[in-house]
Amino acid sequence: MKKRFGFIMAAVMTAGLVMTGCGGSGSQTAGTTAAGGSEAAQTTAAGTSAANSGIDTTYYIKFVDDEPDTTDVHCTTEYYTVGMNIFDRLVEVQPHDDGTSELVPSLAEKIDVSEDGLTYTFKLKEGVKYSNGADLTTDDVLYTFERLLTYEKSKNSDFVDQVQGADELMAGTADTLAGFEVIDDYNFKVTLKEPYAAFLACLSTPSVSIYDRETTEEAGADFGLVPEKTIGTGPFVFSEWTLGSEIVLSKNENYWDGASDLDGIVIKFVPDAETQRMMYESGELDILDLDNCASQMPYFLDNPTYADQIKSGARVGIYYYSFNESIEPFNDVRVRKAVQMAIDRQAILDALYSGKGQLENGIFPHGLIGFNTELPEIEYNPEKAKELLAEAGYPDGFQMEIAETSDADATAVQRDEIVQAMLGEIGIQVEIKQYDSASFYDIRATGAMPMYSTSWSADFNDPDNFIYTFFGTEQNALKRSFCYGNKEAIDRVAKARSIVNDEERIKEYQDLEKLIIQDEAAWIPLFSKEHLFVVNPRVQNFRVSWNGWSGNYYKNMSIAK
Amino acid sequence: MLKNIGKRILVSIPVLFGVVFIIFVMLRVVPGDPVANMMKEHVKPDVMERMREEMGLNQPLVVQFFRYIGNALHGDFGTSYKLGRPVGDLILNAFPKTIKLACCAALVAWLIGIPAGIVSAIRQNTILDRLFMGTALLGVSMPVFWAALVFQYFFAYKLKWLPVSGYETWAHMVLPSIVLGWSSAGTIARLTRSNLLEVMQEDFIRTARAKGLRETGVILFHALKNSMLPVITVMAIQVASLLSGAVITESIFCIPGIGRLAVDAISDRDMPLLQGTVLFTTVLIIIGNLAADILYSFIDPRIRTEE
Repeated sequence: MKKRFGFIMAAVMTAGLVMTGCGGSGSQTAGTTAAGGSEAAQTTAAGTSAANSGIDTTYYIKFVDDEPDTTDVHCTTEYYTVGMNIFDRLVEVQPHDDGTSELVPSLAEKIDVSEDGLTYTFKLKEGVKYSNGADLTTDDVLYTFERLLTYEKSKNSDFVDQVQGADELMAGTADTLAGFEVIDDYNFKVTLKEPYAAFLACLSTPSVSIYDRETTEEAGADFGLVPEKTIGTGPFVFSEWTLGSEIVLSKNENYWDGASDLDGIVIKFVPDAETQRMMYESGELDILDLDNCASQMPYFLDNPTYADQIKSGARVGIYYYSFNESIEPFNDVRVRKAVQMAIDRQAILDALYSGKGQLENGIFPHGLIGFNTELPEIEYNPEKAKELLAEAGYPDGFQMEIAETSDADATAVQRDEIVQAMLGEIGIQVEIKQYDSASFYDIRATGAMPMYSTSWSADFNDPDNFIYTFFGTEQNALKRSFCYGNKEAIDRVAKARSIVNDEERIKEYQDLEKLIIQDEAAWIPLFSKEHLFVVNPRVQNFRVSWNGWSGNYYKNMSIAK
Repeated sequence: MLKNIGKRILVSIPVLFGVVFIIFVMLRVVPGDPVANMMKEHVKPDVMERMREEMGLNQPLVVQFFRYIGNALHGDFGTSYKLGRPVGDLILNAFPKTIKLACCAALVAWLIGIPAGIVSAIRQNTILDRLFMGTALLGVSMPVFWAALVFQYFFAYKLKWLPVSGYETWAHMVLPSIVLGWSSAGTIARLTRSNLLEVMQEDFIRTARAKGLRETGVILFHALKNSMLPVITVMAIQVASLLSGAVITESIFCIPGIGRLAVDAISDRDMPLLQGTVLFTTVLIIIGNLAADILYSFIDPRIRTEE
């Protein structure tokens, strides 16, 4: 009988293999990604060896993150951890302990801004090399700008489309970027269409990482997918990507700013929160990002064993509920204010996130340039909310819908349920409707979604990244189903971008923030959450990076040997 | 025999076309914009328009369909929206991990299921029978996700005998194989037992006994062989479905196999990848059924002569 069982297995397996053999198309994307699991490293001690290459990862920091679509940061709007650590930018954000941050030169040694705010003159650091030994020159910066604007897979043209001639280049009516003047190998001048104060902040976002022209062009579509073809100047080198399993970065021994003390990092892709916790506790992970396993938060926060291992940092991001002003009764400002007032935001923060965060009352969250400490608090006052509703002609409330994506984390639905109960107190009947995320974003883009909750975290440290994103053009407000009606305010937001005097500009932004969120109640700001990590004591110098990108810079961390 | 196999393969071609057509149309009829979903909060109208063009989404549906079929016949199943890699490569990369898991799980199922079924049948209504059948029932009725978490908790987390997750070494495969194999073992054990008991009542068994054969011989050479037909059908289908991906087990134990690929493709509305995985699964199921049919004729000569 045994022989036959063997035959069944062999038959099915062989047939399966034959069929997959037919499925193979085109070129193999990466030698390292396609290796089968069975030939993998045979080390038995958990987590000491990379899946395929056998790199000794004992002193690598291991943590869980989502699997990126690509590590080419020009072509993603979500996954930056790898890019932050294998590439460099012209300027970087330096966080301070008080939650503020400043821009510091990185690949650029010196930057001069003309008085009219139109011309930026850069001097690059000399002697910076890519991990393959090529020199960094101004031509690479030009290439990076052009690629962001014209590469068919680029998703981030908006970070540099303020440069003069960007529109023409994108439309194909020009071959070169007119506003970019190469002076020599290390000096260049960038001229903007009109003053744009957030320009330098834009250059600090991971998406504007500088690539080498030659290697990037040679790699073509493989850049960002095939480790050995993805070259940068950063403190780590992209060593390995095992699809569905992990990414390994190893230290760049020749890093221009001194090699890291850390041997490298291993980013594992583990979807299950419970599994993540067990992996952390059994030492298979060094850092646990509680964003990725929110359900495990109470376990770690309530357990005294972990008190010393919890690390936190501000996340420059804001949670909010939207209002759709084109839908009755949200077209009435009194109704919007009533709903704002009926929600006890602190209770939500306490119940769902152990109080780890801060209430927000505007658009600009704590930690962002332009954050307004003087902004009045939106009060929780259900009585007054009821009066406002009665005044607006809805003494008995009304029915409404809150939309939610089905793949949102568990706390998002709980948040909706709490709001549902709170609004129920003032007579508003809320139905929570879950959509799969493709339908959710589709409906939302048509401007037809009545209300939903989501969050936005900073791409770069400037109020422009928040207020312009939401209220800078009618399209921006429509595609998010705000259908915000105050055209004058929208014009002012767009104009504020080009105010050269910084004080004046921030003042205008803060006035607009108050107008839009408090006077007109265009949305319901909730809170910003702390970014919490559980960190194994063997990790030294752990620091949460300034960011809305959720990733950290690992260069200055190390592992006790 | 060969003619029959050839006929079966020919019949499966329209089945495949039908599946491609249905999945293609269904995926595009349901609401949802893959580009909006890829960009999520980053609503950038210009960029989104360019992406739509690059992905061929602004072409008429008919054009999209025939282009897909044309490319597929050349072995090009498109590029995953989400992962930016050729679908064929992604499936090829995930499949070995799924094969490894499926084979280990099938081995567990067969090595436990069949002997347990035989022993239960021979020792019908004894404590041994009750014990085996009880365990089988537990295996069949225990949800896989629950068993996975419980096993993970005790054997990996508490006792630290085995790694929590991963697939790199054989030690990693032990827990997922047992979790996945157990429920199949339960089905196989119960099926083997009931069929064996039925066959044991047949006249030819009495004849064999009357010839003076030893009981072991009667069971192994006469009864078992004749009772295996339905068991083999179930085993072949089980293997085919194991090979098309054990979604939950793969997720909990972090095994980047076909199941996880398919589920991610669904939630990301990654049409090329989803089409690819569905097509692949269909092929596996067709092959599984074909393999079962072929095996019948090896085990039961009557099927051969009928042709």
